[in-house]
Amino acid sequence: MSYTSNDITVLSGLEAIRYRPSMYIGSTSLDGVHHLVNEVVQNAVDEALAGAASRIRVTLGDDGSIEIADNGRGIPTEPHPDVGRPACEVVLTHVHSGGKFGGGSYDVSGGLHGVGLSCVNALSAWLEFKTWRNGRTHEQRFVRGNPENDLQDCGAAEGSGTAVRFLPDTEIFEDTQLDEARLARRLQEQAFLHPGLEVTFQSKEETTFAYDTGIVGFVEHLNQGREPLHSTIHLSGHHSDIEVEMAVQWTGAYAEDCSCYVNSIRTSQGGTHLEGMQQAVATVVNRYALAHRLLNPDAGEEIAGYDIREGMTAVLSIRMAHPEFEGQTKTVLTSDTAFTAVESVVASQLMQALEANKDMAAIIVGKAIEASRARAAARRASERARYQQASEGIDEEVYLAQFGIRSKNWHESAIWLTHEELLSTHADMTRVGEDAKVLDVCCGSGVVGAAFKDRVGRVEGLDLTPQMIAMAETRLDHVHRGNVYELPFEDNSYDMVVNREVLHLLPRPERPVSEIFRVLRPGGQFVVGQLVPYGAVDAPWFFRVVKKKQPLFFNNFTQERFRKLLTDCGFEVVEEREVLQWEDIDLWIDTHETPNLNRHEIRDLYYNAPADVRAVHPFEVAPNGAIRDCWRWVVFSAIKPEA
Amino acid sequence: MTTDINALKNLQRGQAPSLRDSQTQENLESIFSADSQAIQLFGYFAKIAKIEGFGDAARLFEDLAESQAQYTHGHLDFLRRVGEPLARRRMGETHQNILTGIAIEELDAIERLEEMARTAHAEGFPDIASWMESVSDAKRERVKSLQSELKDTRESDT
Repeated sequence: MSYTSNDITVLSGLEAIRYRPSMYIGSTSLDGVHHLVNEVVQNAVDEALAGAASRIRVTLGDDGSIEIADNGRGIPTEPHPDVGRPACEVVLTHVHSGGKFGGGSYDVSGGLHGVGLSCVNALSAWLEFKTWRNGRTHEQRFVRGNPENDLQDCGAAEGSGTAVRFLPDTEIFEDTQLDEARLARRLQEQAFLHPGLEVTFQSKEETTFAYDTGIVGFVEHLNQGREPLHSTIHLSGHHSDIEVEMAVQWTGAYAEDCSCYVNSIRTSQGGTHLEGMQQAVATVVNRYALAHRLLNPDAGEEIAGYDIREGMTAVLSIRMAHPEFEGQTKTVLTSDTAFTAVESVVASQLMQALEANKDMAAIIVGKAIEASRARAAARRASERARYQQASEGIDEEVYLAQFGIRSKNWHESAIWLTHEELLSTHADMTRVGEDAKVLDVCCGSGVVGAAFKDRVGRVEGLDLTPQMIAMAETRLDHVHRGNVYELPFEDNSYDMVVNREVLHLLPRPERPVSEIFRVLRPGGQFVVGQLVPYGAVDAPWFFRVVKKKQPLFFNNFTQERFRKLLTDCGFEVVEEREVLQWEDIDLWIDTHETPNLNRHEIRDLYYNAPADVRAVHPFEVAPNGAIRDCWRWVVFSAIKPEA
Repeated sequence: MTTDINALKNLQRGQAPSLRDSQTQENLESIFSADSQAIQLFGYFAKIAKIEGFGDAARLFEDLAESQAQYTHGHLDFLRRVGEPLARRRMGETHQNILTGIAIEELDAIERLEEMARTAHAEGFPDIASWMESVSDAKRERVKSLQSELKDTRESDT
């Protein structure tokens, strides 16, 4: 086959963008549409960064269009010397054009280096452009990136500015319905990053974001609902032409919450600036702790970075010329100079801040040491439980430590605990009569037993800790104290036993199941709910997720293995029902029993789940990294056969 | 390390040496095993380094893992003539490789892991036992998908 110059297709800049949109904006899903909006917002913010704009207004039209307007300098309308067309038209129709290449107009900027406006134009069904500059108003309209008319002079203008209104092209995007809350967060973020800038968001309602508190206010805003341990620390400084600003506050929470920005662009996946900050914080806290004898230097005690960052909320914002990113969508910063600058500014200033406020320093270091010890304790707890199991005993202390603290705000620690459909599925499987006497074993707060109360005569509970017993007593008829390895009841004393999500935590599950079998009368029923993987394929992945969350996780039951556990102990399994339930994973892992390192590892397991796991196990990762997992419960109904 | 005296003699007689059952085959197998393990170890180290905030170290570990992968494939370039390095089963074209893959997964899933899980239970490590059972279950599924793939390659052969 011949291959000549005729075979080479030349795509003009905008055609190239429409041909491969993902190369420019990351994806053609809803994320891509948000990217377009951010692109134009970022141009307006760049005007604010240059000191030229003080107001940005974002308006969502009923027709699905989005308008972004600012009171910056406007875009020049004079003919461009090389192209002979108005400069603003060039900016909208030529890739790699704009004021951010030559230098001079902008010291630092966040826009996509000229791909920006032309890219938005190329991917819009239509775009209306207005600029106010030198006392005149100019307008031009485009369809799929091509000018519909020449730039029009539409009369006199007061002040200056730019307005861009566009309709994302449904030929390109699978979904164009903007997530308003997400956009509002993004705009609020910009208002925090630029004190004095007023950002108005107009959809059904109008909201204006304007703050003079800067990133300190931003951190305090992020910490709403958390318990701050000290007043916010504010650090700022220069290092070789890079401006570094950081606000940080530790709270009583477990989660780590760090947002970082380069020239006001959110780098959601971090990069060199984040790394510089993390290392500086780790170095300073360790150095301070050693200098003040809070750690034992002779024993080589050291606090790991991820333990220090437990409960840390931070906003890091840097400004630099010519930042380098991985990929066009700028989620990771790769400039090495940013690492050095952030590391140096944060290290020196954070040390000064700690030295200047020793009470605060003691709180921060104390929290880090506590996190470090909790991680060691979590590891020991599982080892100890294992050891106890080997010696055929049961260590109440281990379980008290594990479940005792949990009883505080227990129901808020995950969605599944009080999930209505899950609870009613248990109760719907009842096969015993109205007078039945029921035992909710390891009853926790008693919600499972309580779900049966309308259908049976009496529901009793059993648990280990006084806190749990007190909670369960508000829901159940009576609560016994005892452990499930040796139930404190006679043989054949209950018509029904119920339980949910406990057996996976017990080193020898066949023992409690045999105990339950013993205390049930012949013909009695055992209803038990268990979280299980979707099948064998996701079982190892699921094991790792749960084990990293919960060090006392001992049995990764698949549906088949759980059924076998019941039948091996003498039960006849008569019914199995599946319940799917969306769980907020960030909430689920925000607990004392999950060390901070593990929280990161769990997120990584979701972000990098193998393809075969993704194919069978549904979960969602939001653009901000938040994870929701569709959990699969199976509720088993088993009968103790008549003699 | 010893050198096979017969191999030396063959060499002196001007005969082409055979890689099969030579010390060099054994050496390639041994370095394949070490490098393969290093890839996994470095990948794991990279993840930890990333979480700890040591981006340079993470990238270095990732790069090392990538280059180690090159080495292991280089070792296999020679070994493919005489058999895969785990149990010297035949390897080469895809149909044969799937058969070998099935043999590897079946051995792991059905014989070794189940036995290892029993040992873990007996030694008082129920969570490790459960982990091994989970991997064993998954590998059984793997064998099934390999078997159906095997059918496809056989059809395309004919």
